[in-house]
Amino acid sequence: MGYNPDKDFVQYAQAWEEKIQAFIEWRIGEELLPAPVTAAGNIPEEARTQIAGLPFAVKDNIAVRDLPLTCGSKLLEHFRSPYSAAVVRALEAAGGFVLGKTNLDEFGMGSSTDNSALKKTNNPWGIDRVAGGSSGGSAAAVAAGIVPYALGTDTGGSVRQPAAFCGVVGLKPTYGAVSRLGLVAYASSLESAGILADTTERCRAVFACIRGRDPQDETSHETPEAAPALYHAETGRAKKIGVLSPEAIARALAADATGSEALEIAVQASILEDEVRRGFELAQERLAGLGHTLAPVEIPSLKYGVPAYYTIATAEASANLARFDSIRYGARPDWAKNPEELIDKARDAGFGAEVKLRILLGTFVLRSGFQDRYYLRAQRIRAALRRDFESLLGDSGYTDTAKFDALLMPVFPSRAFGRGPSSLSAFAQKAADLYTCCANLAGLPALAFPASVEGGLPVGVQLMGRAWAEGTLLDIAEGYEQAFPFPHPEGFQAFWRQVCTKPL
Amino acid sequence: MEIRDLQETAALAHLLMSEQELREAFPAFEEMLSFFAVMQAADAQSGDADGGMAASSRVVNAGYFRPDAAPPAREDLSEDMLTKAGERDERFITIPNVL
Repeated sequence: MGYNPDKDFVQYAQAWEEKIQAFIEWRIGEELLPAPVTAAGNIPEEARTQIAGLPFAVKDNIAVRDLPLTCGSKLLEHFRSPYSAAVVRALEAAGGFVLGKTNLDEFGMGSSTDNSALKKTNNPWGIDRVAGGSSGGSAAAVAAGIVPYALGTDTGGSVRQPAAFCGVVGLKPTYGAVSRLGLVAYASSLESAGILADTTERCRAVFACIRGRDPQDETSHETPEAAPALYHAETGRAKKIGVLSPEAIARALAADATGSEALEIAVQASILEDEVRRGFELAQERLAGLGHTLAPVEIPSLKYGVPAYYTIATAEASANLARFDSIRYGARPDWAKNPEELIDKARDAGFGAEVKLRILLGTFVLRSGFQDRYYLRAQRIRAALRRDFESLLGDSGYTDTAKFDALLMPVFPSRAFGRGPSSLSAFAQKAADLYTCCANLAGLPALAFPASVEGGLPVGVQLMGRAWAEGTLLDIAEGYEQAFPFPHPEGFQAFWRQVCTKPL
Repeated sequence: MEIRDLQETAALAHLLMSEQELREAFPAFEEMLSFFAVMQAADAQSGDADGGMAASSRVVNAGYFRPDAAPPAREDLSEDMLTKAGERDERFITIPNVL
């Protein structure tokens, strides 16, 4: 079935949106005709049928022509994009069309979507809880069944963590597998466009459509021939899966924590909530039951992952966000005495507190005399992390044999958290990124999918793979989904189960 | 780390933050820096038999970093240029009739 804005669906979507506030702007109820399919020849038939004629949502830091591009910031509240991102154009060429732009933490900086300057997004599983972040609007829209899939961006877990919080599939592709043209840059060496989808099959289809080299993005690449196929790989083969022990990581962190209050908080934040631990253990049992071989692994350098990640991410953010000065981009103050004051006033009024904090941190770690202590050290840790992962998963050039097909780990130490005094502090939210940010530091693909529902909320787990091996991760998750269908929140209706089987 | 350091950093980042705002941001800033300090322990591993972290580094040259100072445009574009301009009429500059 194609997009059919009939009364039932419009009412359904509006009722959900009133509760979850996923969209910054949407075109619900409008008669939207999909663009003619122009890229059918480049996309496998299996993929096209999952996309053609269906709407999708786009995180509001990805450009869609004539729609807002606010990045969840006051600074860009009235900005509309003059062009569409490469990923959006690819999906439109396959017959998909944009229903609307979704809410996010300002410039992608956060783990709750509450850092948006424009609105708060609620979790469809419990509206008193956050949807996760920073792609919280996209995850909530998919979980509620308003769209079958949505685009997000993942800099340190921003697709996978909200996917886990909302009970949907979330893919962060290999760095360079998907064009970044049209993404508003936050940390260029870490981020990539990602997918939030209702099913593994849909996620695979969207990835098949958007991957590949883009001449306008020099960091993008074609998938190497030696990489596992996305479709028609040897089906049913049992995989070797390394299991990362959260307890070992917490112990390693605790060993360095003596005397530091911040590190004590980081250690606490890394410990899995009981329900998450149960979900993680259940996923291991189920994967073993499906015939996969599981074995424990340790990655010693992982304990330095979060500080290294935030050092590099904030350093890159301080440079990337320099363009928001009201001269190149951003709302301009009514008046200023000189250009310096114009820039200062615009940035002061436009950026929220979290963005300012990260710019301050990034500027500080790049200051004379501090570069060795922070930025260069973080880069060395990043290289070591990548080497540790390659020793388990094999290198990106496919010149060696992998010990494991994938690594299994939690996505986030807690389920979707609530708001108010019992919520995670801003610092604890950052420290809790330890399971997600390592894939960005190493540039590797990672896939989050719902493992179970514990205490009324979904628990996601994550598979990380060798560079360009998204197909392997999707195969494992698809097998899991077939045996243990993914859950949905109360009130969910499956409008997108049927797919278009004929060319439009 | 003192609030003055944060003030200087804010100026370099073109963030016109009030003293109150800086004071509010200071604890979170310090908390993150003390978290970053854990990376120092990674250096101790650089002597490990497996090569450690230093041996695996492929990092940028420190010489590529920007100077820790305001860009030259700051002076060229602000006071100097404005002092050479004509007289002001509130928010406007009066241009003398030449012809």
